[in-house]
Amino acid sequence: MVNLTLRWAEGFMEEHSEISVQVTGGGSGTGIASLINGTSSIANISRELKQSEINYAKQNGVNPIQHIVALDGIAVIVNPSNKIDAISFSLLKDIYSGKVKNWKTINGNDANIVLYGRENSSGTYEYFRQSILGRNESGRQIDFPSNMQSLQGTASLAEAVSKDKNGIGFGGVGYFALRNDIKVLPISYNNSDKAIPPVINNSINYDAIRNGSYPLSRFLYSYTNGIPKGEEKLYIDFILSYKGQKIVESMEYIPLKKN
Amino acid sequence: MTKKYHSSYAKKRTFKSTLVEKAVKYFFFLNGMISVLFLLLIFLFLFKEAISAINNIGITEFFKNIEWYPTSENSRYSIIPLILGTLLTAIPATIISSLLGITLGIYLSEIASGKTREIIKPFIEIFAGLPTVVIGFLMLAVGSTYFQELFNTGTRLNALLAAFGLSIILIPTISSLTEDALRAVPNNLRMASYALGINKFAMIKNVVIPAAISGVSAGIILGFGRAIGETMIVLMVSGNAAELTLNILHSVRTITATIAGELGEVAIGSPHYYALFFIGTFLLIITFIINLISELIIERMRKKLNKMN
Amino acid sequence: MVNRFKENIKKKSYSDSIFDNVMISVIRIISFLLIIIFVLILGKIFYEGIEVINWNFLTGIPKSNISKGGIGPAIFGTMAVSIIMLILAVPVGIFSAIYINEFAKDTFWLRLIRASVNSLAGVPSIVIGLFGFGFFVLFIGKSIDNILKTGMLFGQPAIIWASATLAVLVLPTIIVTTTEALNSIPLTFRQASLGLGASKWQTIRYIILPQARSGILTGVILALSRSIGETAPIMFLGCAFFLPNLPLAHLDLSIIQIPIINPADQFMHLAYHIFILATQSSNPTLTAPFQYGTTLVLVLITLLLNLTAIIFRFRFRKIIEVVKRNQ
Repeated sequence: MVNLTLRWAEGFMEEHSEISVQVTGGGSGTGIASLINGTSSIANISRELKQSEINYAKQNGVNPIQHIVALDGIAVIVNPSNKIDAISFSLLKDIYSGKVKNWKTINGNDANIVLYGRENSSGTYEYFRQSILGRNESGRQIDFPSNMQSLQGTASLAEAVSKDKNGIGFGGVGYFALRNDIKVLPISYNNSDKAIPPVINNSINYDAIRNGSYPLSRFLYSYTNGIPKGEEKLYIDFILSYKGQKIVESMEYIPLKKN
Repeated sequence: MTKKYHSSYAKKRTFKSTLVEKAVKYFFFLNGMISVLFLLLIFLFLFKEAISAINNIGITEFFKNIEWYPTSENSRYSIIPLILGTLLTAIPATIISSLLGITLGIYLSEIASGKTREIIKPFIEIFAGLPTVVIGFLMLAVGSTYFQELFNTGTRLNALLAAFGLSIILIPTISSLTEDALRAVPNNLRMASYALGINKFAMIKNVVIPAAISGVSAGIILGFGRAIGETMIVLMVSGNAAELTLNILHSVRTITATIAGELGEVAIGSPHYYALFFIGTFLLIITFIINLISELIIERMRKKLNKMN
Repeated sequence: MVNRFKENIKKKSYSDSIFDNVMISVIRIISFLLIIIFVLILGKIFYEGIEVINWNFLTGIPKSNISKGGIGPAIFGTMAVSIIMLILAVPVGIFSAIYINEFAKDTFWLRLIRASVNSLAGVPSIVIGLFGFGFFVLFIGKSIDNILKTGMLFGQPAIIWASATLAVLVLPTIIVTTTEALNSIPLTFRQASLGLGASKWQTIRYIILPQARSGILTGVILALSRSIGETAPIMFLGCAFFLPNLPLAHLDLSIIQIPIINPADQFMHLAYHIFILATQSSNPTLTAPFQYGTTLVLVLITLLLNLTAIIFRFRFRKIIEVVKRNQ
């Protein structure tokens, strides 16, 4: 999300040259920490604040206010040679919890499934675990199997799946849309539903992701300390403006509204 | 020097200059202690955080459970799969690079002509200094495809691939240490063997290498230490799956790659943060011991060679 | 050993000599194959990288998700971090070596210092990075902020902390090479200088250091080359994916503004840039030439530095030989 934040800052400064925006990168953790410490006025992060983080912020006299600023579709990819053409939530759960180990089980080739994922501290990892794996009957969180490879970025994940006939991976749809050497799978929520593709002919299926018929998407957030005023309000307004959302689209994320 | 002069002026100057000398010496002493200071700071600081980890998580958690799931709700912090992953990349890498590096060292020291050596030696030394991220990138982009076809591995990124990547930096290290050790063997040993009519290879095998064996083994141990501590290559090509496995063709996760991959996003002061310091401290102690051993071996070799001369 | 010789003589036969030749050839072949592999690796980088290298690439700013433009800020950032690293590490390292070689007697302190230098050299770079993050950023940086009330100016990853961490990393290199250089200056020089009434400091300043110059320079260059190639420790010490501005501050002298490196800023770095391009690029087909180009630039810099170090070392040995011959 650093890229997006940087482009927003550039665009904002073009419109308001009197205001200077400084962007520091790092993961969501950095953003949250600097907001709580009161050193950043706005933190852009790819997940909601946890209750514990909100409590901690309030202790420090910071009142985080959430603004939804963009959407991100999470896509599942396989190698183009893979026979599978669509997948459901329950199948994904079986694959990514390690229950299904061979493509044959789900009508693919007779080969072991090679799982690709992201680093355990990344937002994408967390999101995918929550929405696909969820919890078991006793309420215990289900974890990815230990043989899932963690790659350092969504790009290297895409690269790995493109070269691995038995691979499967997940990540932000923007990283996959333009590639022809991987297959982006349409996903259905229930087995009986029609699977919805997140990418059609190398362009992101904005409508499906926005209206929720494509089931794997998350919001991206900006947090301010209290109700934004002055410069901060101008910045949030800019992000949500036509121009700001156009930047979202140019960075292969999904704008909140149809432009 | 100025003692001969007894004028009060000279006395004053002497007093002043000894003071200056003392100050100068003290200044350099303080600078000399900088390495001691930082080594101490590194140990103190890492131990401090590691103790926080033990207080937060509990020492047994690091060695039972055999799973590394630091961000799970039911977090598990076992270092065992990470140790296995580290060994599974470092041991094959050390074996490959010892075989090849020693061969290259023998070639440079005993077989190559002076001119050839002068060209090849700096060229190989350059490789020891090649940025590891470059090797990681090349293994990821080019090497992985070759090796997957060559060994027909199910997993594209695996411990063996990482071991090959590590070998690219270990071979130069081991070969140049081997060469140094072999060349330190007094030439009259070689002459004596030739005089006895021994063939070259037999001479290398039975005379030169036994005489230089401690130097060669110190090189191997140093190489192993470097393999354990190397980060970028394993981070990029080992696949980073914290699986409990002994299969060299599986993806593994090393201690170094775990720190590099997770520290950037971890919440400071959380148990996960301290856990990373704990495994870092573990790595520090292990490499410290390994370096100490190789240091002792080199010292022993020096004494032995001094005796020979 | 004599017994072994005798056995060998007994065993010596025609087949032995063939076996011997075969083994020697095997060593030769393996060595040549290894060298060919090394040449191929370098060749691949040169072949793929040379195409994209031009002035725009070297000075331009990355555009449209690093698929256009250049790597100017990464080169600048690498230089900025290295310069500050050198400022921090070189004087201390040289003074430290002077103490080891010129002042210390074989006492507890000297042995402690030597052992520490060796141990420090063996600490994995990721552990030094971990230390740098915990000690420099979170301890020193946060303390400065608390005392100066500067909010979170220093208590976050920045150039200064990356440089300081790399300085700790290369300190042993500088100390060891400088000590070796000083050690190779003949004792007679020192005796002559002291005999003429020069103080110890004068001897070091006017006799020893000038003689050891190229030897010391070798160490500095090797340290520079090592720090430029290190990626792991700087990953969490302020290395940024992409920064729109160079990490500069402007020193206001009313008439002119002098741009200086802002040590509290984040930075881009060549080695980290390669890592980023290899793992997070949003379009690998577009960025692949950039990857090789950046790699070639980094490899060329380290190659040139290492080569210079080799030349300096060679020159230094020549000087010492001449000095010793003339005694």
